[in-house]
Amino acid sequence: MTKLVKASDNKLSMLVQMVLKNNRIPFSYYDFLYDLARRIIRDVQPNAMITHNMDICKHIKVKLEKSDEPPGCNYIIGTTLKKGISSKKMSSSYANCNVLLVYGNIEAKDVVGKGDTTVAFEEMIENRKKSMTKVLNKLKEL
Amino acid sequence: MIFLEGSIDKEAQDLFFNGGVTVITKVKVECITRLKISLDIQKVVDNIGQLDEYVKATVVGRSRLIYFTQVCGFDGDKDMLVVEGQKVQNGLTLIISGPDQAILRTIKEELKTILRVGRHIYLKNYKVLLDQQLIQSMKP
Repeated sequence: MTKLVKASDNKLSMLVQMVLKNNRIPFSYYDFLYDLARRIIRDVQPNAMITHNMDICKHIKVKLEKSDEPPGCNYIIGTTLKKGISSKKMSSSYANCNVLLVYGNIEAKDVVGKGDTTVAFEEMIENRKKSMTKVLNKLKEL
Repeated sequence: MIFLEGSIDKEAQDLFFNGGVTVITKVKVECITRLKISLDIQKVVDNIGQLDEYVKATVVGRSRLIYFTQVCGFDGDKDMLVVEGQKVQNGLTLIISGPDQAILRTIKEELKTILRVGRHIYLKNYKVLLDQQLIQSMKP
């Protein structure tokens, strides 16, 4: 098995060298690119992707960063998103956090129902707060 | 934490925030899909008012760490929210840094070829290993 792995490593090395040569990328990028490719291929096990898309590239998002230092890579297991407007109040980090994904908007009618239009405005606001608190309690139970 | 495709009114957001639930709004559908895969979530909630209808295990995922980071892109600095998942194979983000934008762009493109062909090379090993295990298991 060790021989097989060595042979595969050699083939990958040749592939990286060929890509560098064909695209006229300086050879100083070889170590960086070879180590990165080998790490990703070894991390994403062959039997890992049976339920989702089998293309390894569908699971990887690449972003570029300007730096004066030699090429490097920040390897993040997970997803990155643009910082949203509503995240202003957020803490800087959350560890072991439960995540819920929701399509659409969170509107009052989702939690209060269409409601009675004849009730007083203050009462309507109060009902809405109560309903929102109910939803919050349900969320906390999750 | 809730990742919401649309928006939420200010009052509800404040109420949720004070109750310890942070809502991130205007998340693109494609990002929701990536988060779903990354955090091993089976279902995305359509209506938060009907939470009782969902089984907890299917709608709630767990992130190891959620934090902000700043990426110095070639077209300006960008603040990013990083949501770390549990398994590498469910989603990986690479932030490749270097001094030359043109080279990095080429590497970004060519990395796809290297990974696809490289994966094929290593899959052959895996196949040989499986065959060996099968033969050994059949021996009396």
